[in-house]
Parts: sequence; C-alpha cells; structure tokens
Amino acid sequence: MRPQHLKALQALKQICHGSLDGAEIGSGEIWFQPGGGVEGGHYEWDIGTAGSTTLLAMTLLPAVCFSRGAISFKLSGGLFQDFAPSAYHMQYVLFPMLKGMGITAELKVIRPGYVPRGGGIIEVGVEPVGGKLKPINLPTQGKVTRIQGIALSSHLKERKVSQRMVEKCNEVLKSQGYRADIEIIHDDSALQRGAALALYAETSSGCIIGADRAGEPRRTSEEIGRSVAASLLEDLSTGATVDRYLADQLIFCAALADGVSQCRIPRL
Amino acid sequence: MTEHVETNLWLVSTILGARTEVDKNLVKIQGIGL
Repeated sequence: MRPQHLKALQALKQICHGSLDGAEIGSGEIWFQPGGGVEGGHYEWDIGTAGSTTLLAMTLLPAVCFSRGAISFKLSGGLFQDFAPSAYHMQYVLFPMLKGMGITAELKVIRPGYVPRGGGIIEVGVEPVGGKLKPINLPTQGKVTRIQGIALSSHLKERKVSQRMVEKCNEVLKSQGYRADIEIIHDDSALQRGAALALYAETSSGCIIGADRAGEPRRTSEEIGRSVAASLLEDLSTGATVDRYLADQLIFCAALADGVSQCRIPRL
Repeated sequence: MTEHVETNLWLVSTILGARTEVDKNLVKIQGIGL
C-alpha cells in the first residue's frame, strides 16, 4: 500500500464513520467496516506526496454520492502523472458522463501538481443523489461532433511547451480529418515544472471519449502531443463508446445503478 | 480489455453481486439498485 491508498482508506473511514484495521504503508491486507452512512460537509486531506488526488476522489465517489447532504473536499497531492486518472479526465469526461446517471459532481483544479513534489490541489463537490442511480446506456459511438482539450504547462512558458503539444497533437488529428480546440494554459503556481495534455471528443450519441498524458523528464512536448492524439484516434477507431480509462471507472457506479448499463470498450 | 476493467467486473460481481456480461467489446452490467 502506498501513501495515496492509505489516505484514501482513512478518508473513507472518516466520512462514513467506519473502522479500519491493518492499514499502513506496505500493507498487503486490510479490514474495513463501513459505518452508518455519510454526512454532508467539507473535508480536507493532504496525501503528503505526489500520490494521486483523483485516485482518492475515485475511492470516495461511490460513497459520497449517497451522502445525506452536499459534500465537498479539498485534496492535495499529484494531479497529472502516469498510471493514475488525470484531473482533466475526471473533470471533462468522467463527471459529465456520471451526470447522466444522476450524479452531480464538479472538480476545480486549484493548483497543478506533478511528480515528484506533488503539492497540487483539487476541490471536488458532490450533490446527494437523493434516490437510486440511473443506468448508463451507450451502445453506439455516433459521429464525433467536437474535440476540445487543454494543454497545461507549469513554469515552461519560455520553452513553448503548451503550444508545441497542441501543434503536434493537431497535426496527428488532422491526418484523420479531425481538429481539436485546445485551451493553452501557462501556469506559474505549481511547485515545480510539469505539463499535461488532455483531449475530449463529444459524439452525436452522447459519448465523451478522452485521452491524456502527463509530462515526464526527457518526454518531449511533441511526444506527448503525438501520443495523446494517437490514443484518442485508436479508441475512436474501435467503435468504443467509452475510452480506455472511463471503461473501468464507470463499472462501480453501473453496478450500483437501478437497471442494466451497457457500453462498448476499446479493444486493445 | 484492460486489466482494470477485468478486475472491476470481477469485484462488483463478487462483492456487490452485480451480474456482468462481456460480448466482444460490449459490456453489460445489471446494477443492484442500491
């Protein structure tokens, strides 16, 4: 168990007044007993490393959407990194898709955070569902109606990192007849240098299919732009109605919903 | 199918009792209506 996993369990225990045994860094087995329900309110948790804040938010989401009142939390840690959901994917893909299931959630990026220092901040607000979750029905992809995105870089304005990611990304998309409207953000608030590129495509059948990648030392802006565009095109080409990340994220809410949910996942 | 999808389908089936079905790339989940 890593610090972000531990913090997620501790946060879950706190909001539902449950009990938790065996949870420590390195644990291979834990015991968790839920308590008597989740109250609304405001909470703050700091992972203390660059561990993923979105992973923490994902852990809490199935519980907090059934809370007795509106709930908000401020999370500190990492926002953009490999092997974890990116804050932009959660904000522009996951949360809008959950809206159709009756979950009203919003995310604000207060400060970007990257590996290794972390220090990023997100704020998440969730309204109580007030009933049962609705199933999600996404049998067909439809046509792409719009592609948008965000090219974020921190303390890298002079290297034109955001612009270079956008240029390469649109160059690859153009080869398949697409073009993305990508907002360029030059950030100076993060604790360190970093970058992230996110795309999200809307389709005529109500799908939102995303792709994203964070920066890494020796990973060029052009490589990020190329790989994000390629990831989106690959998922679209399979006829999928959810992207490779959303596919597993929707499963928990679908399993709690009242009815049959269906979606087409990318064949990878 | 990614490992995450496979794992989560197993988890909701085992822990929550949700029925899941995968036919080629179409995933169906019968929710428990919590």
